[in-house]
Amino acid sequence: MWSIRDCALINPLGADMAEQTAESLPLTESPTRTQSTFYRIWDSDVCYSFRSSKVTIVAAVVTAVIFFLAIFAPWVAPHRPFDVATIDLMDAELPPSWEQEGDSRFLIGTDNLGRDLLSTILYGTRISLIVGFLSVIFGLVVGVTLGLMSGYMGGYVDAFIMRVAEIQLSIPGILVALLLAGTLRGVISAEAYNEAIIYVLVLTIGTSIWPQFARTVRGSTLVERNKEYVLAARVIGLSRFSIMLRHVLPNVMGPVLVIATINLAIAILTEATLSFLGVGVPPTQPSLGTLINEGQNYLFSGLWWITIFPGAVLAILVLAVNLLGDWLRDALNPKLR
Amino acid sequence: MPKPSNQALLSVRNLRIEFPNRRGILVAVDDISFDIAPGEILGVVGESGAGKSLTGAAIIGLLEPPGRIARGEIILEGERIDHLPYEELRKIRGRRIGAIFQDPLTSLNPLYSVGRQLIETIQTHLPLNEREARVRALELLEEVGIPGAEERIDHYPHQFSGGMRQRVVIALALCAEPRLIIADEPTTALDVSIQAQIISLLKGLCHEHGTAVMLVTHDMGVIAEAADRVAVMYSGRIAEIGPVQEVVRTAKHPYTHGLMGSIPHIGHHVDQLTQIEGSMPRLQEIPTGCPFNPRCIQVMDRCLVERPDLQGVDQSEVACHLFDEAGLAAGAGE
Amino acid sequence: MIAFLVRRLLQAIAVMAVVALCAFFMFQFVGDPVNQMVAEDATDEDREYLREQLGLNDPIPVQFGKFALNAAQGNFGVSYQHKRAVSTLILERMPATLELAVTAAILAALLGVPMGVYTGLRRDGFASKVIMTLSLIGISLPTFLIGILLIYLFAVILGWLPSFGRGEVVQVGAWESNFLSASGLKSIILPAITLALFQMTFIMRLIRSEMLEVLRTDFIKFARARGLSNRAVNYGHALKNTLVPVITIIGLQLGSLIAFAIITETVFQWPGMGQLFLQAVQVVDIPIMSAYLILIAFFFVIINLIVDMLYYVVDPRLRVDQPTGGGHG
Repeated sequence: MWSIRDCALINPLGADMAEQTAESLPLTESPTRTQSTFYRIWDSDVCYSFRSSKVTIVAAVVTAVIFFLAIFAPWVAPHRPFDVATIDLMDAELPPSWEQEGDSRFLIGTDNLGRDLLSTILYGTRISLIVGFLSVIFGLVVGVTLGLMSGYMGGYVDAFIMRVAEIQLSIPGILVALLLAGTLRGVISAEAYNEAIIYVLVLTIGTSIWPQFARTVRGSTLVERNKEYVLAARVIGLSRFSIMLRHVLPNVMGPVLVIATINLAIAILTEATLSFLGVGVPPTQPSLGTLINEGQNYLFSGLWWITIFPGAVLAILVLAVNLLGDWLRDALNPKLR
Repeated sequence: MPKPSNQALLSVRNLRIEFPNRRGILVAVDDISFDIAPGEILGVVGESGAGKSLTGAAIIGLLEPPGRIARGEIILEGERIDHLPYEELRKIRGRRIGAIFQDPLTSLNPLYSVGRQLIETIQTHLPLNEREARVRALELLEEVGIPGAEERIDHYPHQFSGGMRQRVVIALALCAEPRLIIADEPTTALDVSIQAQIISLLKGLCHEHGTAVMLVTHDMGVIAEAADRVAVMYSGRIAEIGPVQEVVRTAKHPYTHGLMGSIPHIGHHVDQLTQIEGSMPRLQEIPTGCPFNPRCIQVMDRCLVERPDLQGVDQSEVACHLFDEAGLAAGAGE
Repeated sequence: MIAFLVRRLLQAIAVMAVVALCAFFMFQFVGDPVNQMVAEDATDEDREYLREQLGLNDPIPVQFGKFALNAAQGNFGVSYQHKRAVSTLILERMPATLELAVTAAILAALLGVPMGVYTGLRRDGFASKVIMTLSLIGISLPTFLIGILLIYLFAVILGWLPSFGRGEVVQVGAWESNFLSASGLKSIILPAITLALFQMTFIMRLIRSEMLEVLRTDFIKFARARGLSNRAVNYGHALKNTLVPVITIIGLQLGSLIAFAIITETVFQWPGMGQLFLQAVQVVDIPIMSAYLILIAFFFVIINLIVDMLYYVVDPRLRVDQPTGGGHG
């Protein structure tokens, strides 16, 4: 409190002096006019905290590499693992190439069907990432919309939306996803289910993460709603909603980005878990979770690579995304440290 | 520079408080010196960001990192305390220097009864057992004017009103009869009607116990009412320090002058309240020379290059080039 | 206090009613239960007879009334897959899940809370940074992968612990326990660690951020300014004020443990409710799914009620409804 008072002038947010001076002060610094836009971005606090954290840089590089390889899997992968014509069962269960029985054609070995493990993993990561991204986007759109409505309309709408969000937050996402998946299996045929599986997963996982977005956006909307400029806009006959939207959205960009990043990691994990439990992506188009599930059965016979490599990729991917999320949270909101 | 006096209760000498950040060092308090005599109430006034609360925090050793005392000395009853280890300083806090914070609503732990918080503080500093400490706690509550102390002692903070809570906070500060109390904006968070009560209570109690007070506030009214002397701070420096009557009536520093001009006085006919143009510079943009020079209406060439030191004028000390021998003639008056 | 409890109880009943409705609609819209129960070559009369027997021709509100009444008495019908009463199936499996979940909860709380407090108090210490990094790895590894890795290390490579099942269980009345035989105890170690690890890191990280939050408050700064010892400030004041959120977190986590047990039980072939539920999801065995849903909701509601009551013990602001002195300043 001692420090807070003294800095009220330079610190409208009331954050601590310590953090204030260390983190956000330079943001308010007027940059010299000769500085280029690039330099200003490079010199900004977010960028500085990125540059000064080796772990974050490594995480970003790892994420970028994995994203790149997964997106371009059809071009990068050495084999086409789902093209039956190119698969030879004789190649099944080959260990990584550096082991005694390894085959130089298959860098990290093959799975039980003779598919090149590296290629399978690349395609699997692709599916995991697609599901993860789509789920987060779905959850984000639904959550931000409902949060805005909740905060703007208030009253019964607000109470209803927030109660639903609360109940949903208290139920583990994986359970919601399992129940939804199970119910859907009853409604549509198994074939249709497998065909639509990606959308089913996006729907179920997205549904399990929207409340966090909704709550954050609602809070910010409530703060903005009572500000004077909103009233002023109303007085001169502007739509209060559109005015507010223009002020609320920039304000929640930071937190929403943080929640999105952290939930990308969670969505990838949830997809993997559902696939591992056998209600996710089918083995014909395996994701990382499916691969681990399949490989698990061979662990006891010593075929460790079928499980360990997809597992490692999954863990590294999620860890990297989590690290980025952590960094982002600290960089955008030093108070949370 | 004020003369170091032997009878001073607290002496602050050339205190400098810095906040290092990645682009260098921000100087929040720069080379300030003042004394507080036993039993004296020193008001410290200034805008937010002037460094007044940081000075208070530095005295009780609760500057938050990365804030640090970069230079200077803090001397309590002849003993230097600014470089003491945490544990030594802890024993001084509460025992020899009490503290009162701005917001009584958040200063008390909501989960403990006020009695428990009082007893805990008393037992930390005084060799009393639980029962004796409770008796002392009751006395304190009565002393700060809480009616029905016997019953109220077991109540929780949320059961008290804001003014009553600030009384509890004062009781907590007085627990071990400290010689000095640092009161940081003690009335800012209170209703106007309660403010005067709390100030007169604080003033009365300190007078009775011979406790000195460093009263940090941005409210000149509070200073005029309670303080014996006042220090005006601007951009981490003392602009003017002196007896409260003199500073209020015949403000010397143009900044103080502006401050006084912005206060309406009942009974005085003023056509227009004056207002100081602009705002205090940010810490990283403090101009060379006198920090007030961009806003000063009497600015001179010298002010832009040379930082003024405190110099005695009448009974006060002022940091302003207007009072340099050469400048005196230029116009010290109204 | 009583008014508060009554309100909470009513809310709990409302939540249960909503969940029951969801479960009921699962029955209504997912498949025709008659198809699941009769033989392939049954005649239309047989089917109609069964419909009548099951009350499927009644109006929907009446059906729901019956369903809710039955559910309240623990009667969830007969499993399509197992052809046995769902309640019996669940009761048989419950001890396994509860023992696993409680063991994991104790493990998670005993390790997670102290680590959270420690990293909160010494946020810049070396040990804190190590713990925080490890915890990030902890929440990045999916539960099933942790289970698989543990099995690979301790069962396959080292051969110290069993890789699946409950081992020898000892019958105590109707309860089958793991804790009374050496083999049972050995069997529960890996699943319990697997289940506890994520919860532990979760609890730890949350307590840490709560501690950091509380340490920033004015009353902690004021407590320091009063000269209280570090011990009194950190443990007497800061820790006590983190208790309310911590109780909530641990309470809610206990509920989610039972849900997360689904994964652990699958990895370790642990014969609990989660495994039963997962099998039900795979073959769309609606009675088991709806019963499981209701049961989990019931656990949540009960835990929430207990958490609410614990608040009373911790937070005086809830104990006294009327401020006695002139309201809030």
